[in-house]
Amino acid sequence: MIVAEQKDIAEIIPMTEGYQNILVIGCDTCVTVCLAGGAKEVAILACSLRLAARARGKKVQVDEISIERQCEKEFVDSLQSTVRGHDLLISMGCGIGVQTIAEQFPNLPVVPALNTKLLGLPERQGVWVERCQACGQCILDKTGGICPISRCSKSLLNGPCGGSQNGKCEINKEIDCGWHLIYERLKSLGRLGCLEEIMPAKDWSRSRDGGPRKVIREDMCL
Amino acid sequence: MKAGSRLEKLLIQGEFVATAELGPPKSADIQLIKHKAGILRGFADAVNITDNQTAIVRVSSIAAGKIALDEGLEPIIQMTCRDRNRLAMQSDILGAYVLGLRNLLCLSGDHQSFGNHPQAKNVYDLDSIQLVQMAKRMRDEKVFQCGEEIRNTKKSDLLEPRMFLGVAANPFADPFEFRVVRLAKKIKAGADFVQTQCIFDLPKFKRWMEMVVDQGLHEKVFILAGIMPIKSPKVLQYMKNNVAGMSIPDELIRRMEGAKDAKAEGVKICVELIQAVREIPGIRGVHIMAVEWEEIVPTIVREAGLWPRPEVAAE
Amino acid sequence: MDFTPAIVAFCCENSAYRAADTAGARQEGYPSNISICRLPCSGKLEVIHILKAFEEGADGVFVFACHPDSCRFLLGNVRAGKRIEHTAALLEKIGIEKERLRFFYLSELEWTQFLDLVRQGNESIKSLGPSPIKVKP
Repeated sequence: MIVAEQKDIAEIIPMTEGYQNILVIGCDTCVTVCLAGGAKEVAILACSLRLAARARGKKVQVDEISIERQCEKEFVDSLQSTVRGHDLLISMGCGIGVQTIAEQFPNLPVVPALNTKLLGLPERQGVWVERCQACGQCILDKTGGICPISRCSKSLLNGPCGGSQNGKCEINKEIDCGWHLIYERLKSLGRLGCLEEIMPAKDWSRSRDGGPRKVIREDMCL
Repeated sequence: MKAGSRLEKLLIQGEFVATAELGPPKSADIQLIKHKAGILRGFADAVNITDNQTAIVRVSSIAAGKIALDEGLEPIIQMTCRDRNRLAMQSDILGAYVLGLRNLLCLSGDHQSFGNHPQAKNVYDLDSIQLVQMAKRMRDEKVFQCGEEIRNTKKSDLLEPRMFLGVAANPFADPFEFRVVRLAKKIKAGADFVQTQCIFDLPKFKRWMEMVVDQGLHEKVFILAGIMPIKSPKVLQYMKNNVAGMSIPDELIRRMEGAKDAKAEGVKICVELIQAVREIPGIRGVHIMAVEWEEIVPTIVREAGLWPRPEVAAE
Repeated sequence: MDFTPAIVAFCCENSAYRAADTAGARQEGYPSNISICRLPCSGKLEVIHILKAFEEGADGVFVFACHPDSCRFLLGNVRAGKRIEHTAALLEKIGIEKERLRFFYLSELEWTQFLDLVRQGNESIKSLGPSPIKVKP
């Protein structure tokens, strides 16, 4: 899932300067699951903004709403009537949500309350870890189901580098060495031979490096 | 003869080579480069010119290498994968070659979070193995990574850069059993010579070399043992605690702590290690990593019985 | 300055609520400006409840949970502690002094401690003055 994290409220408050009627919009999908931008978090942010304004002797109207998914135009469109009367929209969705709202309501300023951080999963309650870089060319079949692009700090394809020690990455002892994990996994699968093959240079043009990407299913386009 | 570099010729001729390191300055200090080159001249068969080592910005390896070349050294250009994509790498390899540089050490490179620009974008377009492979193909197949021939036009001559290719090997990183497989991979990719990470744990190094010799790898690549002279026990302790991929026995730290003159003891340990690795089957030379202590190299080379350095045999 | 703060005390019904009950029945009682809000467990309390309390005019918010390892729902008091910490940091950034939010461990028998804590708390909120959101600049 997409994992995001709320910006420090000290960063959000200046974004609201000069606006009187704010609508905070949450998203019930990824950011709810990662406890960053769901209905609960919307309520907290909205209340915090009202309190912060009053603590500065100002008054601001801050309304709250949450929709199923901010990354689908139909759901965002359902906000047509709700956004009326507001002069600022604060999206608590991921970067995709913020942009979709901005596209649907081009005449209203939209600001992000979250920093979209990673594609990953919860390791345990309250901790989300990165697993995928959307590189566009999945090689998990060759690496025992562990991704070297996202889990190796250097995205090496023929790792580990010389800094791998005790299964940890040289940049931070709390980070597992992705290649150490791959090695152990292939060992347990009896497939260490895979590692003797040299993986050729990656085609980064399939990743973001090739420019903004698009996926098309011709059979689905009417 | 692959590149015809001085280092290559000496190794083929069967000499026990000694290489050293020159760290370029953190400013446009051409005098310092010349000064360091002057210290090392005559005491090493070839000298590594580091490439933004520990991700700290310094004069580029190729620029400093050219100056070192003009000062009479045989430079080994270092190229990391951290800062350049494949275009810049190939361009730099061509550039190094036209400037007269003939040895290239291909490294992954320390992650930029270690250095003075941790906010920089991480390149790693290629890893060190893919870099060696690419440089070898440029030399032997005379093509760029994209497959195009290295010639100006369809009718011009092929003018390929011919580098003697080196890689680093770390017998002390994990997983231990995999390190020899990785070395084999680097050789398969095209490595001509190897410089190991600095050795403090001789028994572990010997175990690694046994595995290497067992696989016959010592006959496919020239292996140089890395040795680092230490100035103080604090440095050793620091490396033990903070530098990943090093194996430092406590007795060594204690020995340095007990010494009256730490620097002299450090030199003594260095010389002992050089003499020890010289006896290990498969070792074709030493790589003396006197980081920011280039001045000590002549002393070490002399005391280890490695002076004077050999001449390339006349053809 | 003669100011009577409005204080909300969220009390876990398994401990502080009972202690408050006992204290309330005594002659001394606890200050009348303290409103008790009963919780089935301190873990039921959410960040939004604390913020709303301030929004609706509280000058201080006290939260009473069972002692560590005594929560009948096991981790309720741990959740409460974490949420208080989080809310305190948020309050500072909003511009409300984090000292207006207090967290105490209590058992049902500790009715005298309840009185002491509530009285001390009351005094400290008094010295802080009215909540900044109520003060006109």
